[in-house]
Amino acid sequence: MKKQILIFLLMVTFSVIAPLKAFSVDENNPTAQTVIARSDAVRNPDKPFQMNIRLTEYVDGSERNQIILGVYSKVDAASGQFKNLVRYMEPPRDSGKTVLMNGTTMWFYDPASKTSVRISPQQRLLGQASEGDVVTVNLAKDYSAKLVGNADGETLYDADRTPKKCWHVDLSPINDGAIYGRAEYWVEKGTYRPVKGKFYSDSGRLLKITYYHKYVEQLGAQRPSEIIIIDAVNSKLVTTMNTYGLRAKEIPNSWYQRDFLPRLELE
Amino acid sequence: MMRRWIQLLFFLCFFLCFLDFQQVWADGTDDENSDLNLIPGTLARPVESETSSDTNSSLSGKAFIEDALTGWSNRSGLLVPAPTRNPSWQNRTSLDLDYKWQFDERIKFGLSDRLNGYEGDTIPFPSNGSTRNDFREGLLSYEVFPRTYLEAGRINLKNGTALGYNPTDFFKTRTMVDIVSIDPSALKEDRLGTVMIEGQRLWDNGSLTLAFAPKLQTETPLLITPTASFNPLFGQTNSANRFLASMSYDIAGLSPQALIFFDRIGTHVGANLSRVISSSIVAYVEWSGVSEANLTNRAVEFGKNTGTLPSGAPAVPQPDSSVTFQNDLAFGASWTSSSKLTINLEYHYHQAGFNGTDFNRWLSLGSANSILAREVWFVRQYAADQQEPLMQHEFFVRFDYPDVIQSKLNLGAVAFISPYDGSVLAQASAQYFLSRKLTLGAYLSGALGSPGSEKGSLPWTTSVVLRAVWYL
Repeated sequence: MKKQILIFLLMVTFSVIAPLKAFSVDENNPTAQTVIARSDAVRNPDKPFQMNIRLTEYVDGSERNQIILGVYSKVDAASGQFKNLVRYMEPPRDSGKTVLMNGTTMWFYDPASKTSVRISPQQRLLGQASEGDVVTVNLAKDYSAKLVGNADGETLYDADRTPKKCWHVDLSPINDGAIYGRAEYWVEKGTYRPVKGKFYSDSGRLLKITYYHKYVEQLGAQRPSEIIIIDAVNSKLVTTMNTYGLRAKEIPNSWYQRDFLPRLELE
Repeated sequence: MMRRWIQLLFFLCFFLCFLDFQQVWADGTDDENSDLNLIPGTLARPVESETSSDTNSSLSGKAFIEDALTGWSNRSGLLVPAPTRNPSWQNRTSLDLDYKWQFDERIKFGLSDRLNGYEGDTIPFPSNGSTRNDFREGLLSYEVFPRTYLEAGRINLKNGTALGYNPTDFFKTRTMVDIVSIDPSALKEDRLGTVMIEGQRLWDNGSLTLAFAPKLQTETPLLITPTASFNPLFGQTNSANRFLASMSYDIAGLSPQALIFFDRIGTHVGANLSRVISSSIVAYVEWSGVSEANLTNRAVEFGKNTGTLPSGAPAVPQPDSSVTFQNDLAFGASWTSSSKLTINLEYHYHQAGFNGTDFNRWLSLGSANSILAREVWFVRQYAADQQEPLMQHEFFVRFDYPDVIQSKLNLGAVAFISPYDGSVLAQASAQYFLSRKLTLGAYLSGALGSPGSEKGSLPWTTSVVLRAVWYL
């Protein structure tokens, strides 16, 4: 009888501890998927928010163009992925243009013609810093991650040329929402801050190199306020993406549809 | 000999090892940092300078001054002589405003207007035809409850998913005021709104829209020639009571929309939907149907009602006056390449339009005598005013190539292709962004085809538009 009780207690103990063990994160040896998920949490607030983005394009080191955007982002409860509304504020010729991105449902609204046109996921990649770059994305929802390189991490310089010990993660798309065909990602060990990314087309061509830069306190956490995007196809082209005015905002789900686009006004 | 082979093999192994080492080195951390050298040293911008003031204005919109100089090369020896002389050049200078004022959280006022000055070989300057104001929109919007809106005024209410022809865009008729580009998406920029009361309710995944446009003025004739006017043209946009109800609900990624529309013709029903087929392809379809007479009979009736055609004018070239259920359809797809080029290909079906026999009759009757020529041209002008295709079948293709030079140059082209005779109405365009405020544009159009073809029977062969836009 004692033996049976002992076996029963062991089974209960195992059944309780085993799941706990499975859900716990070993801070020294997290899984690749955990690295990406924790890194997403550094970039993205955990509540609906509004922010502004200033895109500055440089050609051969000289500033050529500047675009200012307003972005409303919110996690879709069903998919766990962000849905985004992007409104152009400058330059004047683009003012009022609006892009809705909700999974693969994407619409482009032009205030000049007052019409909305459905666009394909490929059109997110247009532009040096595309709509796909300016929207908020949880990489862990769209990509499967695999740690590559040295198990102890790799030493990599950030944009300030400060050495960082990083996990090197390879990302492969797992659904149609993934913007890129493949990505490499470097995340600082311990802080889970993204340091660098390399993004590839479906054919394997390197498209963009990104550096996550200027970490400042934004909406309760240290987040990158600048992303430097190097065009890998034409390396003379570099774009900086500065985020500012990040603040929590209650955003109704009804905003994320075609008929709301003409009504979106930035606050 | 054997020794030489061993030496060669050793050298080859060494070379391959060297290459492999080079590759390993290239893949290593040192190389991974080399792209830091691509970051310009001048890009530092202090974060502190960023403020949220960009978004705090209650006024949003834009204003610009535009100048568009158009030249036409006119066709000689038309089989059906055109009723009016086609200009050979025209210049338009416009002040364009499109603003919204947010009075408080719930109330908003919108104004969209363009003041034009014209001169050309058919419009002496100054004269009655040299000034025109296009009052496109003026509306008051009130959010009665969260996501429930009530609006009143002149409103540009548009529907449809296709680019070249929108059967479900029911308020498009008689709204076109000027043509810079034959591209339908550009035509939509310059169209008049309709005076209406509109209510809209948005839910999480769908919406319901109701709109009533009252009759404000008796129907006015076609504007064949430009006339001096600050007339808001309610006789074009509000000459009958009309009612629209539309409902959309996003399901299975199709974004469907169903519509019902009442006007003096009868009850129109319509639907449109679209779907992402792959990461680079979007397909869309749009349909509407109504019991109505064919294009010619509607045009002739309109001409008689407005006094443009005599009461005894015959219905040519489509004599059949029966009223039957007529379908309108547009379906197509867009494809986007990795190099940013987007191509749209569409097919348009307009059952009430001309078939090949009708068009041949248009040619033979119109070339027979000048009175009939004027009437058959009137049918064609009526179709353009209604923004409906002349023919039953049509193909449409559009190329859009933005950022050919990053942030500087966009290229585009559109073409309407007649499957009856292969004639083409085409346009190539270029837009160059000289600065943040100044955009230069050029449009080259051609009506290509034999004199007896649909597009080749137009009174011009080529046109060039040079355009400059200065944003204020």
